[in-house]
Amino acid sequence: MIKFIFKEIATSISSILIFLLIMFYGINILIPGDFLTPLRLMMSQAELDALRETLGANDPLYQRYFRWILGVFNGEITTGGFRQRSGKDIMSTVLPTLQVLIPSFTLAFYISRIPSIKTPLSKLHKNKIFSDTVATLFISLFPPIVLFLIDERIENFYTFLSLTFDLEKTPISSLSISESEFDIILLLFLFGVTLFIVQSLDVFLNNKASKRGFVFSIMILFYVFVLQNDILISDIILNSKNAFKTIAILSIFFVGEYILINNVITQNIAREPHILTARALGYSKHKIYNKHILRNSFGPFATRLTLGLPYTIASLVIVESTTGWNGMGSVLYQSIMNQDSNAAMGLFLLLALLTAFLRITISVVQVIIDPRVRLK
Amino acid sequence: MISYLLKSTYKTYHGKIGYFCLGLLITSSLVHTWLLGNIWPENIYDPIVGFDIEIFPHPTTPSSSHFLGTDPLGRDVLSMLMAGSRPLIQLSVFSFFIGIATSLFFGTTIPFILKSTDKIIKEVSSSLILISPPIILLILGTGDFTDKLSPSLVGIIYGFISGLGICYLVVRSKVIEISTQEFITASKLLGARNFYIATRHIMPIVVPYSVSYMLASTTYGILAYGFASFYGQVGWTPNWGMMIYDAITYGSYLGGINYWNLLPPTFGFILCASSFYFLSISVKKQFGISI
Repeated sequence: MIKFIFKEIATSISSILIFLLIMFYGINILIPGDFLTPLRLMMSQAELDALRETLGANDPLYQRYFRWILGVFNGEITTGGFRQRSGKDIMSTVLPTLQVLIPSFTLAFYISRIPSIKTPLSKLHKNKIFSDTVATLFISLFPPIVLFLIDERIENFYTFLSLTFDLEKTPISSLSISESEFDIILLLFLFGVTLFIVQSLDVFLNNKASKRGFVFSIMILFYVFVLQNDILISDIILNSKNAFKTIAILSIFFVGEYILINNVITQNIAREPHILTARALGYSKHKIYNKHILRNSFGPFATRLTLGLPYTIASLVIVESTTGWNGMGSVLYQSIMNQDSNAAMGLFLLLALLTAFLRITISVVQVIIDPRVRLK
Repeated sequence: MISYLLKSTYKTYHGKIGYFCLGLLITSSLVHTWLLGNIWPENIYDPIVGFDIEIFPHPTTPSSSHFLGTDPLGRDVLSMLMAGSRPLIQLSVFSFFIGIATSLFFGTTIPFILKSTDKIIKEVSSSLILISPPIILLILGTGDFTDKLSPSLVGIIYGFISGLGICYLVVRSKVIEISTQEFITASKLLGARNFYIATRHIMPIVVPYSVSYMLASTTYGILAYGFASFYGQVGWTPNWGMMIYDAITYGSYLGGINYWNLLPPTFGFILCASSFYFLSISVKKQFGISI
């Protein structure tokens, strides 16, 4: 297993380095000006040229790329002298991204199983016209439109919450915890709420709940609501407004694709002889679905998920810019707009690392779950 | 192979819906050109600079002269809707065919004939996968290219990156699987050249894989183009992203959103993006592609 993980990491490193090289050349050639251009309003051209020379902004691109890579290995992801955003600013976008990405994945993954769960076993091998059409509709929905549809409702709900529970926003600096601690508690809150919604949906749709899932979500929410002080809770709830808007749009984006992938995979597996045998032997639908179809579907689902990961991560750019959520996507958009090539490169690095991390995690889970992959 | 693909995808209901939506979009684009040249006066119905001075104030509700009403800037919504399909069709067609050609040519020849360079190309492809459509458009739309950024150019760039990225990897894995099969060994023994085997025996088998992936990738290209046009990064072309932006932004200044401004481009996007996705599913279902 360790050998497998090392091999995956080595493959990812080479891909990331090539990707970063392409992006470095792309940004510096295609975007006019450089990271010093915004200073032209404050400095004369001669001063700017001198500064450009000092910081090595006139050096050939390959030299600047290697300097940047060396900076990355020294722990500074936005190397390049003058910076509009520091490496710390860029790193602070990771947690907000995870705050929306993890709950969206959880929600979309669960909802995508619903059409297959609700289909009778005898019809599982047939086309699911309705769910396929709805899923395609979800994929084609333009994010600003989804925001337009949900925005007012979420705003009204939060106004109601604020008025009912007398919630007030306090600046994070005046709270007794650091910004990253606040972000972690917010991440736990968002994940706990999403997990609770998923478990409740399970009860509503299947009249059956996973005890472990419920207990886990309640434990997370207990940690947030009981072990933290009132001011912090009030701040977390109010800060979650934009996060839930982003999660809703991202989930719609993901769910459409996951439903379609699931439908195709379950349809193919349901046609296989071992499923027909299990049906002939009188196994219950629950057992056939959970033990034989769901487990076998993980392999192709994971492969498809891995291939689509960059699109998933890139959808953050669209969705976060739409909702104004301060994650990697929207900061990348702002950095490119502000010609802040150093910050953009730092973000590209983080996005590539996030993609590689998710890819390796999926592969490892696949190896653990599927003995056929393990044997290979 | 192409006619076989067309026929087999048309047999599924996904394919039928996909072809219907695509047909509708192409027809509306062609009809728009005809209407603007023969019936509609250009100063009123031009999708970018048209303005109906006989009506005040804009936007107006649907009427006999403007079937879908006018937008806050006085332009005919139906004309904008019909014209908006053209850039997306151009983008999709260019991206689809360039992607197919790139992935099939490189995907079949490199892993089978030029095995020594296969590993290098595989690494390049894995890195190209990370460059997704919103990022390409974001960078291209920021520079001096905005006015030169025609949908066909975006389609060519995007098609090339997708074809050499995700599509190449999918085709490559299938080619490696096929190249060990008996009929390939038999062809080699009979004296067939590698290039002949790659193009005549392997390529037809991997075409559905390439087609299904490029159709799905095109959907993301469409959405990314919509996003770029929403933020005004594609220059002065008639597009649905701009229509949605105008409806939401100017609508809120004018005391509420007019749904006849907002719904047509929304349905346009759904129709365009879903047509390609439906066709992709249809290919996957007909050829038993699970991934």
